Amino acid sequence: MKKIILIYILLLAVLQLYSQNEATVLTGRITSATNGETLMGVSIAEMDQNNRVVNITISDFDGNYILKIKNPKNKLKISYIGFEAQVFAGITKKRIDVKMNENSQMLSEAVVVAKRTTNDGSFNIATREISMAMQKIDAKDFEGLSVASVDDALQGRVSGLDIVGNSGAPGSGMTMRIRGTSSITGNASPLIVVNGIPFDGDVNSGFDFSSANEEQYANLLNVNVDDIQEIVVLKDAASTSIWGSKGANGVLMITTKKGLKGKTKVQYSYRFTQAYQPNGMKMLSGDDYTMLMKQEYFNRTISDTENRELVEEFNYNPSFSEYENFNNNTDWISAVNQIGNTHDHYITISGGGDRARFRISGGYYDQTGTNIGQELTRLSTRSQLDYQVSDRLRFTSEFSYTFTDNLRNYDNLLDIAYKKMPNVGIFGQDANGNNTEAFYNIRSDSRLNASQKNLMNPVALGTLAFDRELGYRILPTFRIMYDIFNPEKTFLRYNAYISFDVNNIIRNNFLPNNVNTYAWSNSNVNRAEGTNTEKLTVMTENNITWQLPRNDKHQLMLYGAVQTSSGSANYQSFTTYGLPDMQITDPTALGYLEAESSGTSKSRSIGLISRAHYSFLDRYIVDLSYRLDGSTRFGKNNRYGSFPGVGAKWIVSDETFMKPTSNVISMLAFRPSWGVSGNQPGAEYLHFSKYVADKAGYLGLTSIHPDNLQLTDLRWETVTSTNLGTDIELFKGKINLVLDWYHKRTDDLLFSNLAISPTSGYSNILYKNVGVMDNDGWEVNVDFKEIVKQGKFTMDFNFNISNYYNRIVEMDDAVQNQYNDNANTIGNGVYLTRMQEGNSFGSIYGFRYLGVYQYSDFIEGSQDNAPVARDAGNNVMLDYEGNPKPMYFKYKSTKYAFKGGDAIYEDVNHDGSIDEFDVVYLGNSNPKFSGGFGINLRYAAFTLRSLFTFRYGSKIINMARMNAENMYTYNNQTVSTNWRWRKEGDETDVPRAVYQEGYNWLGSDRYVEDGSFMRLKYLQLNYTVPSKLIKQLGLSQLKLYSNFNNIFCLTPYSGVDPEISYGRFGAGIPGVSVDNSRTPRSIDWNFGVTVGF
Amino acid sequence: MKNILKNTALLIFFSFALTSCVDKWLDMRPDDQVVLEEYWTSAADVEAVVASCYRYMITDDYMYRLFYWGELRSDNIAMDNANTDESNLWNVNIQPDNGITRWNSFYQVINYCNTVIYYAPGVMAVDQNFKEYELRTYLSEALTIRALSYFHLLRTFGKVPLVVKPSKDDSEDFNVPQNTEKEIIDQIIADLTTAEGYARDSWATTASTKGRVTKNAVRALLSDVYLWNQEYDKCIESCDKVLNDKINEIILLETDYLYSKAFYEGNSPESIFELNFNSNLTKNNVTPNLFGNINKNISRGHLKGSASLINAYSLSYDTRLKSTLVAKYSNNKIEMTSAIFKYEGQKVPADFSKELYVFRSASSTANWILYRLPDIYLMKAEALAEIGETSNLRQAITLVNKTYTRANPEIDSLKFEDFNTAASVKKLVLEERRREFAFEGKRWYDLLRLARREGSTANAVQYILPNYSDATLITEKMAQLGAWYLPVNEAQISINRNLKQNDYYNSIYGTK
Repeated sequence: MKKIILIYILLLAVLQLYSQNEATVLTGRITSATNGETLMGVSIAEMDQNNRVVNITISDFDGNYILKIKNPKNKLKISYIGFEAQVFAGITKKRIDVKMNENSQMLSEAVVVAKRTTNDGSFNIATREISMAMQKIDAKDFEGLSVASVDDALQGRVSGLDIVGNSGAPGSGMTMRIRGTSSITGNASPLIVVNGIPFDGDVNSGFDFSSANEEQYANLLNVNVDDIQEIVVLKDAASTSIWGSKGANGVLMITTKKGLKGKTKVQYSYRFTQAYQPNGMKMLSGDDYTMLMKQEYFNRTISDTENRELVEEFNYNPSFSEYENFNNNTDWISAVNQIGNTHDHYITISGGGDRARFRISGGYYDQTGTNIGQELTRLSTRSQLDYQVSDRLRFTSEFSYTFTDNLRNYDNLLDIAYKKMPNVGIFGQDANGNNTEAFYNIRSDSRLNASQKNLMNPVALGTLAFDRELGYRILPTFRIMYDIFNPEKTFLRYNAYISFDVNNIIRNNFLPNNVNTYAWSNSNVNRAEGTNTEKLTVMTENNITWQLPRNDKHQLMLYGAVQTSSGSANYQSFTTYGLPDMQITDPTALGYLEAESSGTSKSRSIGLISRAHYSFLDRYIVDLSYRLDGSTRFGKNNRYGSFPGVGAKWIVSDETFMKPTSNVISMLAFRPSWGVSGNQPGAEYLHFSKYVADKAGYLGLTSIHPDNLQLTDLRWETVTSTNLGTDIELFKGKINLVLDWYHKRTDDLLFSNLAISPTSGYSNILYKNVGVMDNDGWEVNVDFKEIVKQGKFTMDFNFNISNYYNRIVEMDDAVQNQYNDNANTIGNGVYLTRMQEGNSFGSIYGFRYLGVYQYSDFIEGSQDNAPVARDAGNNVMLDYEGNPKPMYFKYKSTKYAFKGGDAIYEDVNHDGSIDEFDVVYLGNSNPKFSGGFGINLRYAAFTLRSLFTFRYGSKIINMARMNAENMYTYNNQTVSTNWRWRKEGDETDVPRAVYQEGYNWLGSDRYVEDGSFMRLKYLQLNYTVPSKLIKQLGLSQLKLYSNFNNIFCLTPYSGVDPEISYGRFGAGIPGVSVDNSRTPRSIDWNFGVTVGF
Repeated sequence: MKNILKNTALLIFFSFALTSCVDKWLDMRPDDQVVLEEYWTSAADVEAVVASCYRYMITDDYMYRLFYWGELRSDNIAMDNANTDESNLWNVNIQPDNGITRWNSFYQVINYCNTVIYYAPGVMAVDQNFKEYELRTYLSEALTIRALSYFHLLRTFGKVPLVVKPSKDDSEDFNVPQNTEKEIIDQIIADLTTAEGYARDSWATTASTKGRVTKNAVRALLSDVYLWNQEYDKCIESCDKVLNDKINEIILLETDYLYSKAFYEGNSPESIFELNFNSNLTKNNVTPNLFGNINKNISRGHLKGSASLINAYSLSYDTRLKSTLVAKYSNNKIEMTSAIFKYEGQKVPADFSKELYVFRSASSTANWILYRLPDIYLMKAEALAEIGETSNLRQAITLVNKTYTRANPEIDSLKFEDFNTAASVKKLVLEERRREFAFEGKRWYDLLRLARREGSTANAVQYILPNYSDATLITEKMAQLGAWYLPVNEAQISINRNLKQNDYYNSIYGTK
């Protein structure tokens, strides 16, 4: 290796010699000032006035160099890694010998001098001058955590950023809301910006957010957490207005790590995680279950006349041919659970010299879920190369590639496991009761109810069926930065980038024939679905920044930019069944083609941005911004949306009258701000009346029909927010306190697929602006740095809490008519969907549950707790014959008289019937408070960090419990049902078991639970091996980590996990958290090591 | 300084150049669709939307309702593997949330017709090759399909909103109230009168002649409308136009060919207007689902024939029975089952070792017949009987005999002497219509026409009673004429507050 370098250097030297005749030739020798040794490989460069390199050479092994000089007026720069560079203005001499100083101390001093700056999207301004509500998180805060995506790392760390995990399944992502929900049917997730470029999550522009599951855009999975340098969360509209139409839900700006000047560094880290699924509801054993089922049947008629013998599966009759398969006690939940292991490898190489800097990283992440059959593999790489042509011209190239292979369950295994009858076995059993190798599926001729009979064997489903999503995402970016004039004199900088985002997703799921017993022609046999989606987005930005020449009093920066984005997407999808073999899982194989579709879409937008930042005396600061957004999604009349923003800051502590207190209050500032941001509809071509051709015509004629109502006056959804903030810094940064209060109003709420009168020929209107919604809230963030310091021991403490109140202020009659009509279905298991003015989005409406009727017949004094109608004074109502009036459930033509053992619901209007007029507001899913706090302890090389997260006051509909406590179906039930009402006089709060009869599980507050929780998100112990020891090992860095995640959770919630994301339109109850027994967040521990070479 | 000025000037220039481009850049149109601004430029454009008018009549939603509205509640039907909506309707337990009351598919078709009627005349100015007669033909199709759709809505709901303009954009008010029955029927008659003048006599292919609007199709529909509106002279006049058309003659099929030609093959010589299903993409899913078809994996249909229907035929003589319901052969005797044969069955040669029928193969498609020649005979007979007078009654019997003798070749034709009162002729016509058109979506309208004409449900209700165990309850429920119509779907009322619920249902369920 050394030889090659030598030859190379010699060769260079010879080349230099060869061409020296014509021009001035400069020679010299480079030595170290410390020990006088000659330095080899030092770069000697001739540079013009703009520091563009004209000519360059390097010193040979004796430290000698020869350089041909083009122009003696040029500068000479001598630089070497680890040494201070030296510059000579004008090369007048023929020989220059240089002694170089090592520069390690110099660097640290430079940091002290410079102001800390933060990039807010377009300016790099001093952190203290920021007038907007934003919070910055450094990557160090989540170093060593093993998380698949950054939202997990951010949870509980930022005030006003409410993050809820969608599910514990690998790669399922999280739901993020910055300062509440500001959109109803639109995307309510914040905009993610990576290195200044919007990181668009939607796979195709026809992607319908209103019907999508949050899991479908676990977008952040494509950014490796280890690549992240810092994250800035923009919260108020003054800061998000520069993102205009995309910024309405707040912005998450991610900056990735860059190469640093210095020797090439190699760093490798490995983390291993083991995850356990927490215990959920305790379910009945096979024996208890069959007992319950018999009672469910008996209670229908209070006799055995309805022959329970009909269902042989409950009777343990050895003469039944399937007896052995139905005499078990299977714990289905344990059967689908497993310990999940995660291996997370990450390697990075970075370094660079004066001109060029690079950083290349690669990661391999492999996670098996806590349910069988779940596995997420991710391969990611990112490289960044900066090349500085001269002081005024710089190029940057970034490239990132992510491959994800997410193997998911075909169906929700846990949900099935909770429902599956426990007396059936996992494997088929022979006549002696021994397990065979084949999974057992209930025979199709069984007399069991179809809901149980067709429930697939979850173990078979997890083992044999799959739902795989392969994602390929490539993002090459090219940037240029050019100072039009010498920046020292006139700062006018031009920046531009062009970025490509190639996002391909291949989804394939397969249901093999041996997970059910359907006939071969059934569409659930060897069924495969495949969807390929390709999306290309091209984004560009050209901007100019001008800065007032340095001046003690005034500082002014102006910025103007043009951003464009254009995207195109297409997809193809096939569904086939009856594939010839379960090894053939591709839907393009020969089978019955059930469905086939394809589509294409395009979108374009343009944004013109202007900004100004002005500060006077460093303490009066004003920020102005204005963005004009043009989008193809609107017609001519509303094509452009304008989004202004104003922010101001007064740093009170810099005033002379505050001088006396400066020892205590080192910083005090007020930040009022106001701004507008927006949201656009999720579909293209809305302002056209489109004529669409049908696949089939009529009698050989092509059929074309108008497909939609043209939207003539669709407007942007706008979010106007006012923010009042205060920054307080006490005791020279020991205590940092940030307070914010805000009012956020969404006007012209976009509502998709609003039903209209079908006499128009259409059943809905694609989008409409329907109302006004408010979010009011406050946030507190406190940081105590080194609050305790005793020798080598220090302690930090940080705490954040936030609150918001969401309210629907105005709602179009059309929406209210559609959703608030009492004609909405009322029945078992149903909660009303309402959009009521004055209440929060995400409100829950239902009956009030008051317990269980003890007796069937009312006898004054002895049997008072019986189903009779009572008036407002709680007196029993009598009919004209003087008999007590029975209590009815009445809905449309249904009339059911309650009996002993039935659920009691509050008869709010005392009319003797439980009906739609007794439905009341039961709370909402928005938390009253949420936040987190952490304590960090350091002792020498040890660090112990902890983070607690909490939410308070959110309501959850525990649908999983409802399904497991209703005793109405064939589903397995929880052990709590053993406390059920069984005979007259029983005093209990669990109603009787009746199969398919009664109204014991109407949507009521019985299943609406408090979802408050406080959880220890992680406890992390770090050990940095002392440098002495490391050097002996030949390493530059060695760190060890160990984490314990989610090890405890304080919650009144009865379900497994109180972290439940909000429902969306078309998926659950909009805005409401509904627990459907998804995979809960796991309890896990991990171990990690980082090695630097 | 000079440099700065120059650079700024350049910048401004470029930004101006840019803004003019921006508007163009943002005016993006779909790749795989045409927008209204670019449509309606040629005859082909008109024809394609006319095709959609037909295309959306053969959708499941529309087809199901043609049957449900026209026959489900009648005495022809018994429940087999019915869904909740169907059995509630049949059981006279009709809630305003019953899905069958949704009229979306009808108004969708009406909107396409309105679109043609509104835009097609303008195409003449753009496309020189688009001739007046072509325009008239297309208009006749749109007008007729619109009239047909309204005629069904009218007979099902009584009053419905009358929309005759296409819905274009969201600035319009779609919450239109119902129009009176008179307004609707006037519109229908006016449209059909125009269409009769515009329509073609025939098309190039038999399929099109039967499957698209012709003069005779318009006349058949018009006769039906006049009969409903109790304009008997006009009805007879219109029927006669069909019967006297010697150029495009409609010919009654012979006994043996009726079911193989009319219902199995479709587009038979006796057909006047039928909806054609003829490709894999436009399968008829409705008749197999309703009537059952083993070859299509549907072992049991939603519905079956009622006991009283079987009794309406003469088991020994009426050939229609064995072709309307599935006949099985056992012990050398023919036994009738209640499974429905019409549309889904194919008769096989009488081989007594086998059953008498097979079902359509999985890929085959049955056409849905709207009008065929016997309808003209029997509509005319009904009109004649209503007018009364001996000569008319005699003529009516002659007309009834056309279908009766065809179906009963082994027995004598009906004699006037046996039905010599107007009442008995009316009854005969009604019974013959039942036998001839069972499962063709007409029986309920026949009974409702009777009730309307008599201004009382007393007689009509007698026909449906055999279907129910509790005669008193049904008589009571069906006493008001309003109960014979369907309620307006409650979801549609909650969206469109200008709609009024049918008075009868309002009195039961109250106003929302």
